[in-house]
Amino acid sequence: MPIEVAGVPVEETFAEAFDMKATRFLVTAETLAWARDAAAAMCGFGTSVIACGIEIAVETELSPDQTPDGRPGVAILAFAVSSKELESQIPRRAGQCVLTCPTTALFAGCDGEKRIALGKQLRYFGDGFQISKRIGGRRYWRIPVMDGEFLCEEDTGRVDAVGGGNFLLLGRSLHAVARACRTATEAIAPLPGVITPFPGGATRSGSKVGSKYRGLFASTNEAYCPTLRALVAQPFGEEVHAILEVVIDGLTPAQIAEAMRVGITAACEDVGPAGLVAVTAGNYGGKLGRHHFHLAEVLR
Amino acid sequence: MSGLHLRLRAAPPGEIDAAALGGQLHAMSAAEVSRLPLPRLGNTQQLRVADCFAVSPRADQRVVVEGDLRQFHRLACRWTAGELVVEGDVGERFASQLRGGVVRLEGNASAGAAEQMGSGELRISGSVGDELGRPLPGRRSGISGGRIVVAGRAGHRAGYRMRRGTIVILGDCGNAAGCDLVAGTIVVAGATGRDLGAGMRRGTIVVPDSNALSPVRFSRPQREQLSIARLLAHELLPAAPAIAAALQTDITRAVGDLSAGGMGEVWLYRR
Repeated sequence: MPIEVAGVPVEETFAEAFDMKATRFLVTAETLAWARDAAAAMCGFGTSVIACGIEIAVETELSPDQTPDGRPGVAILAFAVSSKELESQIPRRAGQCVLTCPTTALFAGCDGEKRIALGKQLRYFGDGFQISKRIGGRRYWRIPVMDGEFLCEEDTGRVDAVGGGNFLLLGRSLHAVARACRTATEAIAPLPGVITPFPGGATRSGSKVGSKYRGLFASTNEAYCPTLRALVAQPFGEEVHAILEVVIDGLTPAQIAEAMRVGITAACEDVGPAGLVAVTAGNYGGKLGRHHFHLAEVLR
Repeated sequence: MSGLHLRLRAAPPGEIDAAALGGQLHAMSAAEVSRLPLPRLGNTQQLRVADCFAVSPRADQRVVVEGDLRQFHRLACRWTAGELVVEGDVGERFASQLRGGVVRLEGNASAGAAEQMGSGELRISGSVGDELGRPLPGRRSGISGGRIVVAGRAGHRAGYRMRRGTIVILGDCGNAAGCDLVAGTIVVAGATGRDLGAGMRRGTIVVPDSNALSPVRFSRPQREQLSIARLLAHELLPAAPAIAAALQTDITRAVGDLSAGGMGEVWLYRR
C-alpha cells in the first residue's frame, strides 16, 4: 500500500548507497567564529567524490566542554571512495585550511585501527622546531607559528562508512521544493554521524552514470529534468516543475536511514502536498551499491 | 585466576635480588610463586620466596606484597599487566623496567625506582630516592613511556635521561631534576634543587614559579598561552588538581638548556 507523509505520496523505491571510507576530526579555536572559518575553508570544494575527491562537511558544532582543549570547535566528517584518497586529501586540506587559520587546533575525532595522518605530516612545517608531546596515550605535535603554536594530534581514525544515501523531493514549484529542501537539511543537521555535503545540503544536478561524451563518467539525469519532458520519457507528471536531491553520507547505514526519515518527514510536514508532488529516491537498479534504503522501510 | 598475597614472615639474612617478584607474577599460582628463587646479593646462597614470605591466594585479582621490604631490591621488576600493591618501604630499583599494568607502592622507595620504565603506571604514596626513572646501567635512555606519580619528595636527578612519559612529583625534588632530559614531561609541585633541567635537550619540566632558573641555561621566561597546557592540565587533574588549575591560566615558559644546545622547555606556573 502506497505510503504518504503529511499527505505527500512517497514512492515505493529505494536509495542506493555505497561503501566508503570515512574519517572525523575536530577543529577548535579561540572563538567559534575562527573554528567555523577554518572548517569552511577545509570543507570547500568537497561536495562530491566525482570531481572533488572527497565529500566533506561540518557534522556538528561543539561547545568548550565537548572538546579536548576546552575551546569551542566543530566536528568535521569526510568521506572518500578509497583510503588512499582520504590519506591524500586530509593532510593537504588541514595544512592549507586549519594550520593557516589563526588560533586553531586540530584533534582526532574518531577511533579506528586504520589511521589518517594529521600532525604526522604537518609537523614538518615546524622545520625542526616542532615538539612532540604524548598525553593520555595520544601524541600531539606543537608546531611553532606566528600566533604561538599550532597544536595538532598525530592522526585520526579511519572507518568504513556509507555514502550516497538520498531522497528526491518533487515540487510543484522551485520555490516550494527549495524551501522543503532547506527544511529537510536543517532537520538532518543536528543528527550525529551524518553530513549532507552539497551546498545547503541539496543538489539540483542529479546525475546518471556515463555520458554521450567519451571520458565523462557522470552526466545530467535527463529523466529528472522537467524542462526536457517533451524530449525524454520521465517518471513523473506535468505537475512536477522542480526536483532537488538531498544526499547523505553517514558513518553507519542506521544513521543514514534515520537522517532520511527525519529529512523526508520535516520536508513533507513543512511544505505538504500543496508544494510537493511526491518523494522518491535515486538508485541504479540496485546493481552498483550494496546499501539499499527502501523509503517504505525508512519511514516505517 | 585469583590474586596473590605475599606477607613477609621474617627479615632475610641479607640483601635480596627480588626481580622474581614481578614480571608474570599475576599469572602464577601461589605454589609456583612460593618456589621462585630469591638470590642473595653478594652471596651464593639462594633463597626461595617461601623462605621469606607466606604466600596465599586472594579473592580479587590483585597481587599484594606486604612487609618491611627495604632489603628487597628490583621488586616489581618488569611488571606487565594487572595491579600490584606493595605495602611497606622497598629497596633500590623498585619497578625496574615496568612494562604495563599498575604498580602501587604504599611506602617509600630507594634509589633507581622505575629505572628504564617503558609503560604502565607507578603510584608511590611516599618518597623516592635518587635517580627516579634513570637508565639501566650502561644504557643511554631512561623512562620511555608510562606515568609515575610520587606523593612525597624525590631525590636528586629525577627523570635522568627520560625520553617519554610523565612524572608527577607532588613534593619537593632534589638537585638536577630532569637533567639530560631527552623528551617527556616532569611535573613538580614543590621546590626543586639546583641545576634544574641541566643538559636537557627537549621535553618539558613544569614547576612553580617560585623556582629559579639558571640564566646561563635558560632563556628569560615569557608569558605564553599554550593549548597543550590545557591538555596536560586535564591529564593532571586527578593526581594534582592544584597544578591542573594553575595550568589553565597563563604560564611563563623558558627554553633550554641553551648551554647544551637544547630546546627543551620549563613551564613556570603561579602557585
